[in-house]
Amino acid sequence: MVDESVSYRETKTFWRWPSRSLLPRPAKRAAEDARKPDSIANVRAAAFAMLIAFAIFLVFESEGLRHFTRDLPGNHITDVLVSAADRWHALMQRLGPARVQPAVREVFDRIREIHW
Amino acid sequence: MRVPLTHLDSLTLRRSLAALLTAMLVGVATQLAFAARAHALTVAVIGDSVAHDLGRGMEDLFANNRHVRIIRQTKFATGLVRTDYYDWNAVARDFLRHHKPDVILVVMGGNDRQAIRVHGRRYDALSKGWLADYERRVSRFMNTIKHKRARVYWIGLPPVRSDALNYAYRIMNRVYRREAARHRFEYVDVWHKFTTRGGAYSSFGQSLEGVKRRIRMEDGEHFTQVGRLVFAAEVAKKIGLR
Amino acid sequence: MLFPTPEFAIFFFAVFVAAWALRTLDEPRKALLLIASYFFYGYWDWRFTALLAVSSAFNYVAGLFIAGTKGEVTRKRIVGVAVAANLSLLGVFKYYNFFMDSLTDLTVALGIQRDMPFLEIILPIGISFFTFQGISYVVDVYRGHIKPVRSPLDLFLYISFFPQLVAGPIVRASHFLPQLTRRPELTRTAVVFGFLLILNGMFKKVVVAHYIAAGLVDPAFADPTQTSSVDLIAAHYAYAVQVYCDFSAYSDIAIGTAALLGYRFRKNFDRPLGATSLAQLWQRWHISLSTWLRDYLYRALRGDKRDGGARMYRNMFLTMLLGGLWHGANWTFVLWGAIHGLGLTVERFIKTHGHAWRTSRLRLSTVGAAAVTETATPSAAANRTAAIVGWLITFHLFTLAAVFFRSPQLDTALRYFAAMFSFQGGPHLLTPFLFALTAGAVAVQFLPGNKIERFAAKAGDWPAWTLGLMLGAGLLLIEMIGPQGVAPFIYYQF
Repeated sequence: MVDESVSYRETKTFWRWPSRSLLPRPAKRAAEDARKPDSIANVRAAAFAMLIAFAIFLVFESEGLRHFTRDLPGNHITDVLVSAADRWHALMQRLGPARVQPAVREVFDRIREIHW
Repeated sequence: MRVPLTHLDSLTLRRSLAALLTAMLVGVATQLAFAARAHALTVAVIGDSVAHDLGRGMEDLFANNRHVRIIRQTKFATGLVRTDYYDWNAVARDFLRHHKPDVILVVMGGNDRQAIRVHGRRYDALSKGWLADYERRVSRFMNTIKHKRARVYWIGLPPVRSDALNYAYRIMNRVYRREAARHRFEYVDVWHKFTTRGGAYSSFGQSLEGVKRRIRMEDGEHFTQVGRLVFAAEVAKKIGLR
Repeated sequence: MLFPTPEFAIFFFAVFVAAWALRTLDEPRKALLLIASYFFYGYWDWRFTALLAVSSAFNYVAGLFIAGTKGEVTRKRIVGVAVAANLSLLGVFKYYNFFMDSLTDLTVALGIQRDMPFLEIILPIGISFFTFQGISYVVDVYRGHIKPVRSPLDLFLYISFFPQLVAGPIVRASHFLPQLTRRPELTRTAVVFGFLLILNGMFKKVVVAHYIAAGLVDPAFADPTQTSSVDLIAAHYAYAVQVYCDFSAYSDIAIGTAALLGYRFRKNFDRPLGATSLAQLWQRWHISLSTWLRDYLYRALRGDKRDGGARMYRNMFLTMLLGGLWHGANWTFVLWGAIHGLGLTVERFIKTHGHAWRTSRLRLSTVGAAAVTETATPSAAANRTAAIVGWLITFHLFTLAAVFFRSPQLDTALRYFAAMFSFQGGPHLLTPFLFALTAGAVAVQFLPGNKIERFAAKAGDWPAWTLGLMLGAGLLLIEMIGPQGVAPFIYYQF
């Protein structure tokens, strides 16, 4: 008697419909954070992290800050911001962080421009 | 306002005819000069994103013409005001030193309607101080691109959807026209090609096939593929390349 | 405002702080998010905020009417009118001038020179997304999947929530509206997850998609006849990577920013370039769109009838065809949709009839007394080979169809293929860097799909300053090696 419940996967054919991924199944998802979240503490941590990211940008992307302040509509407030951004950029150039971006960029451009 | 012919005095009529004949002779002479070249004519298109559209249009227009070679030096979102962002004088100098084109087409200014900041002072766009400084910038750039061998054509800004920008562009086009005359460049006006009969901006216009098509993109500033061809054909006609 | 800009960073930080400060005050918090969303949308063009508001109000009222009506026929009519109204909005703004253009093509081909009545219509950004969300809401209310919202604030916020407003993912009302009724929580894992997705999205958009486009794809498509075959072959692979990176980058940043605000969006791209069949690809590519098409378009075409046979294939093909049209008002998008529709129907046909054939072979082999004892499963090597072959076919079908997606006109695509298959010339545009970017982006598709979630869970214990360093250094590096200026995401035009 033929077992008609045999599915097509269990035949001895070489070719089968490729429905699986090339890799084994990924591991199960990590369990959700089981602790009751202290949202306020996490919000503070996230905000603090974002401020640190802003500070890193201020230090190493002072040239970008100059451009950004000049993109703002012209008024007395933005005049102050532009002037402050110019002074900050000059300071960062003297201290060194402003020179990191051109150096990184140069290395990256050299890699980009390699030809076969 | 159109003036009926009968109201024109004979002096005005003679002057108009003389100007028309001169333009025709210059166009024919330019065409003959272009045609007489033994090698392909190198046409450089320099400027911002509108120049990019013109350049692409010229490439498509002259794709099967081995007598004309188009090269581009364009960069989006640049102009003559924000030298902190992009220095067109330095870039153009290097480009022209390397390529030595026969014809230079410049479209610039679309991004220049913003405050100029010089030596700690801010000049709001289109203010008196701004216009004076902007003229100096245009003049400086024109000196940079002036070449003994190359004919330079400064293409006026086309209209856009924004009324505020159009108002600014009209004023800036007057600056370009004046400075072009001073530097013995030719100024090419394309404004009315891209407006309705009433003078308003239109995203649609006659294609090269002679039917109405969308020629400006959704942003109300840049050109569609059809529009680029129309733009290029208009410029090519006015400078005698076609 | 564009995502990868300082303006958005400042805007988002302000909204983040203010929204969480109002965490215990539900209505004021939602009102703040709504105002922020309208500010975000109005930054593009303030005139379209009115359109967004009208669309939201219409769908809100329609939902109430549908739920409040008893008769099935009347309910069906109301939902029909609501869907038609949403589609009309989309049709007029997005497709009116396209049809005029197509009519022009037709008249020109027939030798008739006639100017069509084009209209000066400005396409509102994100219209394809918020009209689809509106349709999903009214249909889900009609089907009883969700109750209609009583609070207009909730419905307005659902439709206009800024992380997904202008380029998706298409969020389902049944998934998002319940989140609005609960007080949001923020776990440390969600914080890290949000940061990682933002970094991932920024890298894909600003570095991978940009350099592939600028260095290889744009020049190749600008003039295929002047480009070598090697470059054209590379560019057609690279374009598939570019479009994946560009589309999924927006989704990543949208999901990441929503996570930081305490809202969970579903994954929208799940390593689609690693799919081993077209069906699997469409389960992984733009998941929110493909499931929307399945649940609202395919189901509408199928009706209450049993799915099967020629009708099923027709419905599948039409769904993909219209899905292609959704992407843009151009016949090349329709053709792209048709290719995928045809591919899916052929694949489904082979799968179904292949199974039936194998099963019938099995029955034939048992004629007589002998029972079938051979139930050997295919070997792992056979499975692996089948998967590789499947991947090769699927990947190449996707990349070749994408040439139509990229081409502004049909003849551009045909010229591209003609030049590509001429097999002339060596690499000129293709550099080792671009090759590495393209190949790397494809290779990453075979990593586990939950690697970001797993890393976020591990890094949940990191102190805030470490997270800040990770976020700041990551964004800084991307900024340093990225281009000057920001190109908008491709999906903005939809």
